[in-house]
Amino acid sequence: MPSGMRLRWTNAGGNMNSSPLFATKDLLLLFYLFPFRILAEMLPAKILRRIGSLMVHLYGALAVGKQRDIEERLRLAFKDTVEGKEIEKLAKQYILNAGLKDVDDMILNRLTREELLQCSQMIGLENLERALSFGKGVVLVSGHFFANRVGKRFLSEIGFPVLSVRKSSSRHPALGRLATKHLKSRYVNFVNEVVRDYVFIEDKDCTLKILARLRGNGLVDIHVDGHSSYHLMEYPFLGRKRSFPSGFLRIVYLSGAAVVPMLCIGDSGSFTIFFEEMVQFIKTSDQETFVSKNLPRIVEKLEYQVWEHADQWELWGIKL
Amino acid sequence: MTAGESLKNRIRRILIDSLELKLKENEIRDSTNFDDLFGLDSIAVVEFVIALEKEFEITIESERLTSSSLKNLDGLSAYIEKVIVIKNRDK
Repeated sequence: MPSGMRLRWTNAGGNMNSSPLFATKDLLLLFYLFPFRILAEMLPAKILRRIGSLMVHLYGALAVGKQRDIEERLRLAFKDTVEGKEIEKLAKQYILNAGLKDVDDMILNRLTREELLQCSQMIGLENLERALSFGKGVVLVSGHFFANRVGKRFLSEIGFPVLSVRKSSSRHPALGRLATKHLKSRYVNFVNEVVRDYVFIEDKDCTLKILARLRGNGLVDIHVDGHSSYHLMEYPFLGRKRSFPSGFLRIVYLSGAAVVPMLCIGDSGSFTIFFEEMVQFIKTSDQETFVSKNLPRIVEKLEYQVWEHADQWELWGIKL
Repeated sequence: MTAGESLKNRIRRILIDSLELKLKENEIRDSTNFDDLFGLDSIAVVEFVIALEKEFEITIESERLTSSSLKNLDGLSAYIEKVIVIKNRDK
């Protein structure tokens, strides 16, 4: 009996009325979307990265409350297996990495192929090429790691365009109602311009677009730790039960696409993309059993990636 | 029954089977909007496409993989008919 269960469509949204009218993060977002963005258009990417990095370090030193929250979540997940000092170090680094990701978003559209090539390292490209050799497309399974956008932009630049499957607008729990009303859509538009090649899960053609990309022997990236989906299944993850989307695996079952776990770590100044070996699936006679037998194996791989690169996993920033 | 009606009935059957609908074939009209049948489950659309391709031994072109192309029985059967004609002609 699979431990997972099929649930209805869920959306990790919250009650907007419970947010304050104005929050500190609103100011940061305002600064990010206007003065910093104007600066980004005027300055060379390298200089902007340096300025951004300085600001991120300053923010890191001031964001004591945020750091405590992250430490708490890390402690809950890692129980007694990671020492207190290491937790503190991870949380500090997490906050810096989160800031550097925002800086990367600002400069990504301006980085050339050559600039990205200089800062990149790829491990296991042969695994991706082997998966593509079957001609049925490849689903790259990944988690919410900070360097994903940099990694995917790089892949696109070297001839491996990746279709990202995204949620149209994520909830920002730290934003006030004013910013949610006036700034959030601007931020969403900004991110859309950065990601470029994407399909929203809310798009009624989402699965057909995925299928079309796979049939062209293309690449589709799925964040296994995203949990807005019609098909969710629960599995243990980082010490607690968590819902995982299973729709992508149903498409894999139907289309015969290959699945390759991908991990992007670092930032635009220096990043590494890992491609693991193609997932060898347990073959089954029906879709439901296929999903329940194979999804836990993919979840385990993701959990391992988070363990190994905890400071790079974006979702510590939200309550799990 | 004309060839066109026969094709539509086969599509109706595939629709009912692949989506596990609790409907009778005659309850799906030529103009019934498939979106209403798919509901929120977008995987069902993929299941339907794959089942169609298997049944008619065709491949639906990537550019036709949109909900507007799969909107209703009228449009879909005309498209499938055309693909079958081209396939038979090229044999």
